Amino acid sequence: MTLVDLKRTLVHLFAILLSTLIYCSLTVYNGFPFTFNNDTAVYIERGFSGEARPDRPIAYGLFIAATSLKYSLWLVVIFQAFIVSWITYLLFRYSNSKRQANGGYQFLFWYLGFTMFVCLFTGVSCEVGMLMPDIFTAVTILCMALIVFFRMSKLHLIFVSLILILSIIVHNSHFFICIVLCCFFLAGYIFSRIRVVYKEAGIKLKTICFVVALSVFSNLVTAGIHKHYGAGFKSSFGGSVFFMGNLIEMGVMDSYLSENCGKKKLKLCQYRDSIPNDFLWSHRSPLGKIGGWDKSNESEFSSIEKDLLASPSYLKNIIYKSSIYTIKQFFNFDMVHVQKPTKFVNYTIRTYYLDDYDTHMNSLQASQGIELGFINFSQHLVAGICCLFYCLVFFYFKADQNLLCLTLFILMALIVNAWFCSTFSGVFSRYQTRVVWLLPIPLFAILNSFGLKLFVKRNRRAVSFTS
Amino acid sequence: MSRNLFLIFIGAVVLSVTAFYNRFPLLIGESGSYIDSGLGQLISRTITPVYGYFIKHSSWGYSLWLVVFCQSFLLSLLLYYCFRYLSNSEKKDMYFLIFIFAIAFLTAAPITVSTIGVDAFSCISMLAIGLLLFADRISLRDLFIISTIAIIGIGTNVVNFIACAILIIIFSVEYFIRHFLLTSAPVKITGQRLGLTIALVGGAWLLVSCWQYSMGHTFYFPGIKNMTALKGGGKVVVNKFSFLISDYPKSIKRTATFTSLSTWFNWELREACLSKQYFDGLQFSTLSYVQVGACIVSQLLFILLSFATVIKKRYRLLMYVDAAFLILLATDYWVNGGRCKLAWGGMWLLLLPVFIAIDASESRSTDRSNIVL
Repeated sequence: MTLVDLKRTLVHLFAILLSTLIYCSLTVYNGFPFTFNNDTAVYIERGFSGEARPDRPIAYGLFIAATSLKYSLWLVVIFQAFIVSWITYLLFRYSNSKRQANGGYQFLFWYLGFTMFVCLFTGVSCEVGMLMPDIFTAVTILCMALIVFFRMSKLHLIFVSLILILSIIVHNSHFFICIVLCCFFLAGYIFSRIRVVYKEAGIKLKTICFVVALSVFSNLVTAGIHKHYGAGFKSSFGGSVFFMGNLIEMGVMDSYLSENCGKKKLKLCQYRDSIPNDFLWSHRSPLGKIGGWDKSNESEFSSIEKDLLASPSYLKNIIYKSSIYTIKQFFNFDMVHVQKPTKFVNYTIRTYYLDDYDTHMNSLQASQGIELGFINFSQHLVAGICCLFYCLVFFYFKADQNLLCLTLFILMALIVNAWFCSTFSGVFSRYQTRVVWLLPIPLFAILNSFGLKLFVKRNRRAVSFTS
Repeated sequence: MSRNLFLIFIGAVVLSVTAFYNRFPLLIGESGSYIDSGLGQLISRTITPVYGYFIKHSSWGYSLWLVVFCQSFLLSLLLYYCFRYLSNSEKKDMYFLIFIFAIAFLTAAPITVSTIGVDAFSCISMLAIGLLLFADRISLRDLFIISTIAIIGIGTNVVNFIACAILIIIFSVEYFIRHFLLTSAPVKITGQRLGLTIALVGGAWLLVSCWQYSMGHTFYFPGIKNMTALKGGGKVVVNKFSFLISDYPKSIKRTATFTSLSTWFNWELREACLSKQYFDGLQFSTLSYVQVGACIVSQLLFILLSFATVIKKRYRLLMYVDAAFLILLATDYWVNGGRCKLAWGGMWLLLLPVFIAIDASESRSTDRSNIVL
């Protein structure tokens, strides 16, 4: 390695570390990593106790235990921030690879600019600093984009693949989001025009198949981890219970029960007039009375769901509601989930991270509360401006195919995330807040790709954004 | 044409953003009355049956989301027509999109459109009348569409009817003065268009009155006899106008609206109970100030740009929009007393002239091949 290479590597490393620090800014402002509801406490507890349950995979709990070194939760947030910084660094580096092989410095301006922009005007800093697997949804999408759209070096490909596997195993939804996106890519090969676009954009069938293989492998890893911790060789369970909760909220189950309670013996029939909206978590819910998340309920709920999906009238209603829910979820990304820590969270932190307890109790979130009204408003504006920009790009400007496909991919990823979460779980702002900060990426990638050409006085040709 | 339809569809989705944000169409105290009048065919002395029937047919008796989407589609369509017929530039589609996004994120337009209430049709009827008066070379198909929308818009609310009638009277007087008295001055509005607009306003009044009469009530436009102005509240008190967006309270439960919802859209009741309005109520304090700021800036921008020749020709559009907004405000106040929502609900109209003017001032054609990303 020459001195020039060493200098370049150090500068790049400094940029990544600086970006990591910027992503941690809101956490530093808060005084401690953010916690969410009882979920954070459940992840921490299960990571230490090794208890795998049907409502969520154990992997994120293990991730917390490992990265915190069983010493401090700050390390978890720093590690999450570093992953996000590094992945976005790679994205900006490779989206500019035609101009500067092996890196260079120009793209660092846009990379750091993007980091500062999203940390100031979106909730990414809060997502990175939260002890929840939500940030890994965006990491999953970015890793997919890197593998499919760019030709990375072998070393980078290996690390990105490992991060993709980690991102998929920490939450149930990530595998399905990944697979659905890959299905869309593969479906494009049916049409000759889209095949031409893929060729121009550098998208190859083997890379898509590679991503599919990684997703399937991740699923097997999750199943293996669950088997190791005594929960059987299953990657996710309880899916039918989640879906049932959403079918109740959609209003579909009310008509199904009134039609079928006289004909079939269903456990929910005796409670059909008192099923609350919050079927999964409410203390008034009949779910606890009929056995909770056990296998007999799962199989009964699965059979009801198959019945509903096989019936044209119910299927029509479900498809209609799913479409409405998807759009609702797409436009719901308020930071409303940063509330005071629950007693269970306080108890868990005191139990497993005693040294962090006082810092946690003195944090803004725990003491005065944290006001995020400005970020909510600016996030909406940023989303609106980005959507407008992409509409204009698609309709009125010719674009480099690779960047156009990247833009479309990011939008599709947000839509697929909205569809999956809203249809199978519910419409919660948290599900979209975790990915909405990805919207400005294509905008900055486009600016990065044409570099500073506009400001180079030597070039007097008409405005051109060619890379 | 499919591309144009797709753009209008995108505009409709973007204008419905508040309903999606709320997780259900916004409901007000009168929403239940409108739903009952349409699906229950109940006739009222204070509200017209037109909006109730609009709810009945646009929802298909199936979903209130379809009502919101229809309202936003109609508004998006009329705004598309505004750019198509009031601007000559090649980039009118682009400015249409920019305008849609601007009003969706900076003004209360999506709030009004996402509400199950007649306020959306106040702006719709003003736009329709403006197009009929000022647009050049409208095709027969579009003329028919705009006229139909105008009749529906005017018929939904007595405020719209009175405001349109006042506007027509003002422009009729102007036409009379220009055409018969100042024969040297160029006539801006054609007699045919004026006649058509008068016929439409009169036709809307006749339609609604006949409808009421056929349902067993007397022959009059609902709401006219209950106007606050007629009860001695004729004076307009400026400090009673609130340009800040009013809160949407969460107290819709245990109200007539909730009862109507459970009667006619029972399968959506759970979804309504999951809305943000139901849980916490809705407040738009930041947006209120942003909207006021945006409107003031747009008016000032128009004045600053007035030195350009093209802008001078758009002065009449600015005058029409400003006049329409003020007349709507005054009429709403006279009819409804202190409950004047159109002050903030219709303010976004003030942004329209500057966008059309900027679009129209794009006189040089741009070679698209140079703009390559």
